[in-house]
Amino acid sequence: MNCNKIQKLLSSYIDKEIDTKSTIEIEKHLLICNDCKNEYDILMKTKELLHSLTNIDLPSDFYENVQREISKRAKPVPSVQLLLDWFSIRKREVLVLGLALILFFAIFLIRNLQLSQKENISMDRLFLSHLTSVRNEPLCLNCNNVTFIISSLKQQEDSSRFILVDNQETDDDEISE
Amino acid sequence: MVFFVICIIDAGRNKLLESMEIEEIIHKFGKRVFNIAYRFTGNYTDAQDLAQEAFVKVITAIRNGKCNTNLPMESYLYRIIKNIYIDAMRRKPKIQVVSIDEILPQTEKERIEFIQGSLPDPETLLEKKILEDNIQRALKQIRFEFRMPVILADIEGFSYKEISKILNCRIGTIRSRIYRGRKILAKILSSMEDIKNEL
Repeated sequence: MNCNKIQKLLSSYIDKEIDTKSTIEIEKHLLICNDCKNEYDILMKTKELLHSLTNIDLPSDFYENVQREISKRAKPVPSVQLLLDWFSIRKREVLVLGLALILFFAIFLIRNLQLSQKENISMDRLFLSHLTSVRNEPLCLNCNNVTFIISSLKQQEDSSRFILVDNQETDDDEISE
Repeated sequence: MVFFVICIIDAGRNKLLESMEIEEIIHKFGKRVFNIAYRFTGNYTDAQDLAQEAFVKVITAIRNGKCNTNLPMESYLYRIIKNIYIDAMRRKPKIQVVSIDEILPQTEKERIEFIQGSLPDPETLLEKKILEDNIQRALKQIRFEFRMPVILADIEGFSYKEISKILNCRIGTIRSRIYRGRKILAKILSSMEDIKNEL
C-alpha cells in the first residue's frame, strides 16, 4: 500500500475498524514512514481531544419539561377511540373476557330454559287438575277447525304428561248441527 | 360492571406505567442524548431544546404506536436528534447570539461544585474551558455530514456499524466521513492559538 492509501485507512485503524491484514500492513508502514506517522499522531490526538470533552449534566428540570410538553401536545382523544385503542392493546384480555361472557350467558340461557320448561309443566298440571276437578262437563277445544271434546283427563303414571281420555273428534259442521 | 372496574383499574395502571416509562427513558438516555445535542448545537439552550424535542417525539411515537423502527432506543433517539437538528438548521437564521451566561456553570450540580470549590482550581478550569470551547467551535465549523459521525465515533464511542444505522448510511461512507471530518477538525484546531500545542 502507498502512503495515500495508508493515510485514508489511518482513521479506521485508530478506531480498530479494519481487518487484521491491513492492520499489520499499516503498523509496518508507520514504522518506516514519518509523514504517515505524523498524520497518524494528529488524527489520534484529535480523537483524544474530542474524547476528553467533559460530559454535561442534564438540566434538573428536564424531565418535568418533557412531561409538560408531552401533555401539552397530547390531542384529546374521543372516548370511542380510547375504547378501541384499549381493545387493540388488550386483545388477549378482551378475548378471554368475551369468551367468559358468552359462556356465562349460555349457562344463564340454558338454566332459564330448563326453569321455564319446569314451570310450563307445572302450569299445565295445575290447569288440567283444575279442569278435571272443577269442571265436570266435557270441554270443547277448537284447533284448526277441528273441535276436540274432552270429557275427562287422566295423568299418566310416573309421568308429568297428561293424555286425553274418552275424547271425541267432530267436525265443526256436526257441532253446529 | 366487572368489565368497567377492570377498565378503570387498567387505565390507572397504564397511566402509571407510561409515566414510569418516560422517567426511565430519560434516566437511561437523557444525559447522553443531551451531550450529543450539546455537541451538535454548541450551546446549552439549543441543546436543551433539541434533546427535549427528541424525547417528546420518541415518547409520543411510542405511545401512539407509531414507533416503527428496528433500531435500539438509543440509536433511534440519535436519529431523531439528527433529523430535528437538520430541520432546525434549515429554518434558523445563520447568525446566532450566544449568551455570556453559558460560560458560567450551567447545571445545579456544577453551580454547587463551583460554590463549594470542589471543582479544580480556577486556572485549570479556565484552561479546560478554553480548550473545550475551542474544540466546540471547531466542531461547529465542520460540515454537518462530517460532524455527526465524528461526534458519534469520538465522543460517544459508537462503532462504524452503529453509526451507519443511526445515520442511515453505508459503512464505507461513514468510514470516509470520519476520516475527512477528523482531518478538517485537526486542521481547524491546529490553526487555533490555544490548541496548537495540543496537536
